[in-house]
Amino acid sequence: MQPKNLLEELMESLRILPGVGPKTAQRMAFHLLERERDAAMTLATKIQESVTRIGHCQRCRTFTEEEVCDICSNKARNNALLCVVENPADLLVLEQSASYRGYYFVLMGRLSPLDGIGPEALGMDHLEVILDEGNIKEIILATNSTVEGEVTAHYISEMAASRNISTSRIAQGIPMGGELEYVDRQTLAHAIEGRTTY
Amino acid sequence: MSQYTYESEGFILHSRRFRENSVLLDVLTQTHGRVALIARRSVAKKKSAFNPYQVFSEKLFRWRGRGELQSLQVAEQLRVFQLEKMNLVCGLYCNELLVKVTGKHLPMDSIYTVYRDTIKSLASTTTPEFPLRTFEAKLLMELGHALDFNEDCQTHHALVDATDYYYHPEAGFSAATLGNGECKVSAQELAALSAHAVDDEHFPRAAKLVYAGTIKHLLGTKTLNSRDLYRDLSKFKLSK
Ligand SMILES: [Zn+2]
Repeated sequence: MQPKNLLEELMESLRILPGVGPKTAQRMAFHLLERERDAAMTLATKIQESVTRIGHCQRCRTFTEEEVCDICSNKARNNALLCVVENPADLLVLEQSASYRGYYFVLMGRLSPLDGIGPEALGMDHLEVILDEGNIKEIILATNSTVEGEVTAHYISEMAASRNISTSRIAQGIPMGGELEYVDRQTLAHAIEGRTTY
Repeated sequence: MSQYTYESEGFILHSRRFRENSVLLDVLTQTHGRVALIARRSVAKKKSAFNPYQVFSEKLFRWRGRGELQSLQVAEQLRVFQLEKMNLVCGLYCNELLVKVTGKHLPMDSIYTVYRDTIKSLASTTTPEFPLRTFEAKLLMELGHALDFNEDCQTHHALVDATDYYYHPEAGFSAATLGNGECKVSAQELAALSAHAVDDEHFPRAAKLVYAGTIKHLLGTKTLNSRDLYRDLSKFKLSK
């Protein structure tokens, strides 16, 4: 159905959010207009600012409004360790588990031939440049234990092996077919400590 | 209008999320060929860390509907094949090949068997090239592109003895050059190909050339992304 007026356009726009159907969108729109007009204005500004200013970290590719993110600019971390994750959400989960103090590389996806997602789309060429700097001694592969996550892990492990860099895979406690984002912190902390040579 | 219900064993070749609560599946079934199914993720499963639509597991599918996109009712797990590392890439290559060279809703009973055997081998072998070449050879045969090792495609007589033979995917083998787009194989290579002697030293290079050429011809303008991946990985191995 084509939106006929501004109110309907607002409801239609809200539906891009995950889990928001027509009924929820309606409830949200009325809530904002009836009770939260100021907050709604702040929300609108924040969304606009974020979309304009937040880009990718030049080093690890995660979201940041700086050229290089806070983690990458923190010199106190262990620069011999690099943990490769699929998404910024995975990075966040690992940071919250507080069991890891190295750096990250965020692929922003995973290899999937049938979806046309290849190494270039995931910044693998950039990862090669980072590996060639020579500081990294171990790569921790924290891609999901799905088929695509496994293929991605294999690809990076071969890339690392060709440079004599060792790789380990977090796997313990994460079921095959598991997505990192949904794994609880305890399991994850255990998984990263108990990583095995890949 | 009445709704038809179907049931068959099958393998998911590809799945992708569709909207918030659905998954689109490309399934190779034993009785109905490739079908496109839509599966609604049950609310209970939504927050689960487990994806029930993994590739390389054989399931019993029950679905209904008509037209291009049909609706999955039940998918019951039968057996899971655990493919690892390079073999996993090879498995994805088989999936990509099937999706890109076969049509939908065409019964492909024998292709199903070939595919299952291939995946089963890939779950245990240390030489993935062997089942892969067999898969390619049988797939080409089923698609009506079997290689003819007996007739010279130019003279239409039996292939004569020669030291080298020429192959063009659109024509076939000949003892004389075929011009643009051909590849050359030796007599020993032709013999190994003809016998499908996968472990013969004369087999791998020729099989790769001849099958890849024929598949490229079938693909037209489409590309095989998993083949590029395979190539990258081989390159890493060489530079070790
Ligand atoms: Zn960064």
